[in-house]
Amino acid sequence: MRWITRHEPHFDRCASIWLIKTFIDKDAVFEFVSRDAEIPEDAIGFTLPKAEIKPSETETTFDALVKRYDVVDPVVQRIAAIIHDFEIDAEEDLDLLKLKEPAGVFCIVRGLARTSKSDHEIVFKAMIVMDALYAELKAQMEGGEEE
Amino acid sequence: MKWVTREKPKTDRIACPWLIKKFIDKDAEILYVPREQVLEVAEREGAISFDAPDAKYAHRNGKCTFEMLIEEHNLKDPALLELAKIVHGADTSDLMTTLLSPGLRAIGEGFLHVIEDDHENLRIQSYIYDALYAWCQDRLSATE
Repeated sequence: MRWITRHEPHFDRCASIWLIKTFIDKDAVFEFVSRDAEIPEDAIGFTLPKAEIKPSETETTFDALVKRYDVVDPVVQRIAAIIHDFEIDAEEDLDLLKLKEPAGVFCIVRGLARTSKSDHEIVFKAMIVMDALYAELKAQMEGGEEE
Repeated sequence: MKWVTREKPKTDRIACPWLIKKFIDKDAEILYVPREQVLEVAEREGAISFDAPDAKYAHRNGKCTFEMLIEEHNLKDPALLELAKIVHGADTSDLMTTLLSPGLRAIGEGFLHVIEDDHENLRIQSYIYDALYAWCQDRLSATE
C-alpha cells in the first residue's frame, strides 16, 4: 500500500512509520509530500490536513493508528504512552515530561533530521532506533523490571 | 592505532569508539573481545585498552570512560561536553544527569537485542551519536 505524509518526519511520524511497517502493512511504501498536497485515491494519507489519520488535541498520529488498526501489542501500548507524554501532555516541553524515555529518543530522532540527506534516510535510521526501543521495552516488561 | 575493549557494547563502548574515530584517531581500528582478554590482546596487538578493568582508559573518579577520553585529550568542543553529560547519565548510576540520558540508555540496551554483531552495532549506533551531537550543537547555538 502507498502511505503519504508530510515532509520532515519528526518523532511521532517516525514512530508511526515504524508502527505501520512493523504491525499494520509490511509492504508499506512511504511518500513525502507538501502539507496541502492531494492524497491519491490508491494511497492512505496521514498527518496531512486532508487525511483521516492525523493528530488532534488529545491524540498523536501514533495513537490514531493504534486505535484505527486495533494494534493490541503491550509494548506498542507503552511506546504510544511515551509519544503521547511528549507530544500531548508535555506539549514538546522536555521539562514537563512524566516518563523518563521520551526526551532522549525525541532528541535522537530530531538530530537525525540534521544528519540525514533525505526524509527516507531519516526514516531508515529512525526505524532501527524504534526497533531497539521496542526490544528494550519488551525485555523490561518480560523481565518484570520497572525501569 | 588499534583500540581494544570488551564485547557486547551498550553505551560507553559505543560512545568511545565514535569519539575516538571522530576526534582522536581517525584511522582507529576497534577490537571487541571477551572481558578477560582485553589486556592480553592490548599487549599482543599493541592496542590501547579502554572501558575494561585496569584498561588505559576506564571509569575513574566517578567519570565514565567517554568523559576520561575527553579530559585526557583535552577536547573542548562545547557540544561534545554537552554530549558527555548525556552519556554519563546513560552509562553510570547517575541516570538523571540529563533528561536525555534514560532514553539513550534504553536505546543502547535495545541494540544488543536487535543487532548481534558488535561492529555492525557500532556502525548503526554511530548514527545515533552523530544525531545527538548535532542536537547538542543546535541547542547550544539556540541559547547563544
